[in-house]
Amino acid sequence: MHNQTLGNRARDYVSPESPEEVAETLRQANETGQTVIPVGGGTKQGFGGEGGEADLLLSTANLAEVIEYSPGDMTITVQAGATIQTIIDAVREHNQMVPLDPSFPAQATIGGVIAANDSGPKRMLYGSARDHVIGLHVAHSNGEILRSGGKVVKNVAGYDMNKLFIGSMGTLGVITEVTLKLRPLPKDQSMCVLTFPEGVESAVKPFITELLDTHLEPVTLEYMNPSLTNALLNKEGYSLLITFEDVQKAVQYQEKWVYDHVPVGAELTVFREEEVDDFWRTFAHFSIDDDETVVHVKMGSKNLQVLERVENCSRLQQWRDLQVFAHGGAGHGISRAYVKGEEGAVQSFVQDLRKVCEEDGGYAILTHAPLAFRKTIGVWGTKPSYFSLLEGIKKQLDPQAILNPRRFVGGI
Amino acid sequence: MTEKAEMVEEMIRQLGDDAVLHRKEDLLTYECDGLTVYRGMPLAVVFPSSTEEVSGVVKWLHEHEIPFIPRGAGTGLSGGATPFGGEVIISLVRMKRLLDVDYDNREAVVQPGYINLTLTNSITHKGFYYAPDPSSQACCTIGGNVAENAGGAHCLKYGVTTNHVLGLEVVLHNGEIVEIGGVPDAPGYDLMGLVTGSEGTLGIVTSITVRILKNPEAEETAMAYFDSVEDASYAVSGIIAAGIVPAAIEMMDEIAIQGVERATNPVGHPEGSKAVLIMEVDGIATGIEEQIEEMVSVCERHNVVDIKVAKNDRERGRWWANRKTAFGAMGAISPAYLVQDGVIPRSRLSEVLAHIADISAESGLRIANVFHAGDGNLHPLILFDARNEGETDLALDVGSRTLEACTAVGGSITGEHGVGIEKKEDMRLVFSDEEIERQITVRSVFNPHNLLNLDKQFPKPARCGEVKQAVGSGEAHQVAEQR
Amino acid sequence: MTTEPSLANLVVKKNEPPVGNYLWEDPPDEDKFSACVHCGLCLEACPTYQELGHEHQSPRGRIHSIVAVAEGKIDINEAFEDPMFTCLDCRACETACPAGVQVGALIEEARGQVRQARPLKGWQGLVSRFFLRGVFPHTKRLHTLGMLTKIYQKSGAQTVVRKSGAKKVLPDHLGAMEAIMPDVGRPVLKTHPERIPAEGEQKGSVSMFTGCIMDVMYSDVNEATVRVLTKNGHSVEMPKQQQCCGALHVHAGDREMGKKLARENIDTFLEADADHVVVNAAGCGCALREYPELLQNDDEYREKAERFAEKVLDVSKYLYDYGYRAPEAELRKRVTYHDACHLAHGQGVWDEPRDLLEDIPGVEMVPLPNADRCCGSAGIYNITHPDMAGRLLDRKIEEVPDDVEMISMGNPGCMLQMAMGVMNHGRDEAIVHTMQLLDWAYQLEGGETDD
Repeated sequence: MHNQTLGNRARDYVSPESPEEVAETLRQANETGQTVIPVGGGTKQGFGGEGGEADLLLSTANLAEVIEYSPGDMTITVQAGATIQTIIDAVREHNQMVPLDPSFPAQATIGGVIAANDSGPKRMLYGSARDHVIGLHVAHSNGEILRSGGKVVKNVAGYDMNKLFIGSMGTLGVITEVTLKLRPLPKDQSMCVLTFPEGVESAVKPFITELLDTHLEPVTLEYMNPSLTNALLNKEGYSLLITFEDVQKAVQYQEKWVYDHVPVGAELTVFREEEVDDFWRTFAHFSIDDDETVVHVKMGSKNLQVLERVENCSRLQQWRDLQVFAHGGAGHGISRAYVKGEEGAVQSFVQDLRKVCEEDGGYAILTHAPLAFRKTIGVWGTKPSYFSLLEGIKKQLDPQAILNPRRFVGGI
Repeated sequence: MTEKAEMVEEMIRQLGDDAVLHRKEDLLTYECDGLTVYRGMPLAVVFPSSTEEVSGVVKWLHEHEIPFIPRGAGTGLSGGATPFGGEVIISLVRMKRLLDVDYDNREAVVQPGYINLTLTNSITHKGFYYAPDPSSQACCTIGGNVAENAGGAHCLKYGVTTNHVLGLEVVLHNGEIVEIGGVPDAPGYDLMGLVTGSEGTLGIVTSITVRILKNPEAEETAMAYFDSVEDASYAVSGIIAAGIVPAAIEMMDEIAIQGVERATNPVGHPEGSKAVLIMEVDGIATGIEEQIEEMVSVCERHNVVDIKVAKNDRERGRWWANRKTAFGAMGAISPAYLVQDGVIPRSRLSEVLAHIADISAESGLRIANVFHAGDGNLHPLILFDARNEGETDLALDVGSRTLEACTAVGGSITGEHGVGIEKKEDMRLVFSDEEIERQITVRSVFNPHNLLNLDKQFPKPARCGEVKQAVGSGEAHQVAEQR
Repeated sequence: MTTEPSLANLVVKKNEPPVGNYLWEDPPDEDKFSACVHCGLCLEACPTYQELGHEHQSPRGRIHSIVAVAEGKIDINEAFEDPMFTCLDCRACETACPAGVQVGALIEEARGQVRQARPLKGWQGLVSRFFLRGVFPHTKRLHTLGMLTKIYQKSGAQTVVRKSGAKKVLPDHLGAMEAIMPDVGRPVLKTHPERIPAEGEQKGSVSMFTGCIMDVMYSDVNEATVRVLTKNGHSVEMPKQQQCCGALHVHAGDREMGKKLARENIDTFLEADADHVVVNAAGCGCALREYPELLQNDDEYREKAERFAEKVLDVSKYLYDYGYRAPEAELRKRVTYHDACHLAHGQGVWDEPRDLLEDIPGVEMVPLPNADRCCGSAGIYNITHPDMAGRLLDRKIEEVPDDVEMISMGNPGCMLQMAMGVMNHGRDEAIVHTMQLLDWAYQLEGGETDD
């Protein structure tokens, strides 16, 4: 980890060779009251945390093995430090895939993706980490490695403890091993890109509503603002990315439907086969130079409110000297904005955006921002009404609060 | 006035006369749920009609330290809603309204007593449905589904209840009302995921927002008969390996086939069939045929005896009715059954089924197998007659042994029925004492006095700390000391 | 409080006489109740459970209580009586039950025990004895009662009562019943000869069970039925010695009188020796088909009862199975169809009446949601349990599609109840029997106008 301004740093660094060593490290830290920041690929350094330096940075870099891959069961068990790309490569030979499309698959580890609950546009059809993780091994602060879930795809024995760790930002334990449900690789795919020149974007919502009322089964319905459209597709205006993955006939049929329903004024471009993979790879690696303040915002809303979120970003960008790249999935309710500019402008932008989101019953959190920025406006927004339950869980699982102190909601 | 009389009076004051049952004769029908081998008498049964009424009842019971059990339709198969004796049952069946449907955002909001299938029936005219489809869907409540994280035949492709819950309103142990979820990835620990499947031990769910799905454009259902369970099992693996994502693959073995054929919904399975697979593919119409053809050819490679595709919706409906009423149909060939719910990696199907056959032969009890073959979720139905001395104990023992057979290959003791009373001790087959204890500490955050569905779901951990007497409702109950 | 699971304490042991609290003849049959595995699939089929949400008011709960009495855990007391008699005996649970549990028979057996243990006293007992023992078993007295009603209607007394507001003195439901009482005609059993020949070529011959209430209240339906049968080439015989079917007695727990009537009917119809006994009242048809059940412990009649029951068919099923021709004239009506419980759930007759109606040119069938949910009539249930009956009737009427002109069905009890519902809700759909619609269609062929 190299970025000074992002925080989440520590005085010492360890990279245990085994899960047991992870647990032992935690046990000792717990005894001596040392604070620990777990880290995978380091892609979430700017995500969460408003405190100072920790005592120990605990890396899962040396826990990157594939433990067991059972193609017949469509499950795979890997150590937490394995990157998403490692898993993708491991299961491809049996024509299977891990249905997660987070950012930076080559660097991001499965443990980190789960802890931060990162996801991409394809969650519309395939779901997110909570839908794919069927078992975890977690090293707890008392030095125990406890299992949750199992290796089978259906399991209701006891509480669904997996869920607690997904998105917990490493505040409850250090994930050491993960078992995932896989899917077969689609036999064919294509992506229809509709671009809507500015002024025509009002046609987007009726189009999406009409599409959702058919039997079409899109994998993505990702909506991008003009800056992102320009950066990724070199086209003008808003764009809608409609991906289909199915057997060939079904893909062609769905593609044809879009072709027959292109809204007036919109332009259709179709990506096929490897072009689709190439595009999504570029999408997942999108980043902006941080020669100025760069902040990433994640927003959650009802599905179709995503369109408003992306448009909110455009509206709030006006009068401010900012670059804002925004997208959101009309089928899954998550929108993201990548904002770059002078710190004060970014700050007021985020505050205004957060206000709009929260008034609508949603949220806007910072998934990447400099430490100073995080300290000023907060990562997580308003505390939920049931905060005492979150606090209670933290107290039970990490009573000394040695894990990722103040990284999470409400300063947990 | 006795404590019970005082409680009954208070409940009647809060809810009205017809919303409280307290006579022995009436309570007796609440001594068990869908699992009849364990029974206990509740102190009373109350029927709140709103979230506020649930909250009021819970607050009072909490203050008076009387344990209580939320209950839906009582179709659970692990005794989750069965009292140990002396609890107040909070029945949610009168909270059965559909509160809202938002087709654009694909969400519906229901009260907990709303019936699973009624939701699908209410939105089908717009071409939508609710995916989780436990076999009891015609009568089980969505609140109960959330408590048990219910599955069903079509979970293979569409996931179980937890994958379809988007938001919950929950009454906590002290009567406080909180709303969780509502938008995806709400900041904070995933309480929604934790509460789903917590068998009523973490709170009482009073409103549920669920995902609704658009009906697939087309579906095709095939039924394939085999001369051996092994062939059928290999066919299942073959279909999965071919990269098909079927909506469902269900299997019934010979005894199960005999049962359903003698019950209310026979479909004419050929006599002597050793195994039948019901396979369904759905999706975009133009892509369905090649998938069915591929499934047929996989079955042919595995010595299928006969295979047919449903001619129309009516035939498909009859096939599913035949399969979905299979548990109850056992009543036609046995006065009682115990159903187990083990899960195994599906690649180990034939091995585990052989093991179960051995257990059956050794014990002398017939075991019918009806199960979700696609996800390796077995339902061995242990047939017995409780009127024969000692046979209930034997059946329970056989049940546990089938679960051991599942956990021996890395499986689980329950895929969708829950732990309840029945499988408390079997939890030790999958979790260490520490792992169980950790779950109990999580429970203590929501349920500090263990009043909510007292002592369900977890065995007492062997090294659990001291046990202290708590002052309760006149009856002392044990409360695990908080750490 | 102990939190160790306790195993069910089952007192009934195999091959041992029950030690429980059933002390009279025909106790609920152990083989029948042990088939219930408590799965709960019956719950949502049960109208009383849907209304009340109480487990003991559900089929599964009622069986649980019946077993508890057999096990000696509870007594036959008011708390046991209530759920047994709150049951509508609609049999919807039997359609839903995957194991084929005969809930109706179990309830009837339990009611028999209740009535022995707790005979009805006071005015209830008086009224019950008057009707069940004094009137229904005696065709002549029933016909006389019918005559009196007719005189009441024709003499203007009805008008006077209706105008004077004397009706308001009657309890609500009885007042409402009075208001929808059909114009009583004369029973076909009296007006028609014993044998009515088929029109044209004879295709079959049947005995007709005329039903006591049907023949008094709805003799016009019986007349229509005779015309439809003969029109289709079936000769109709009406044995004059036939009696009330006894359904109401068995439902009320008076199994003794029920059996007496059953034996008389069996003798009468077996002597007549037709291939089929047709019925147009679903409640009666169901009861007749269940005589073997009622007489299971009667060595002399068991076999006869089976022989008789095999002959009994609802008229719609008989026509459908043994030949009818679709009417040629057009009857332009929008019609919905309500499943009488004892036709659909009791006899498994679902599609035949619908198909007959759809075959009438011009008839447009509009589906009735939850068509097979009880209307609340359930024999004399609407008199004994007016509150529940009223709730069910309201639900039923609310679901009738707005734009239908007629509601068709196959049972006189339902017809009375539905007529009351239509009136109470200020609606104007005509309540008709399936045979009446067919009859009108055939009559129109004769050139009469569609009116």
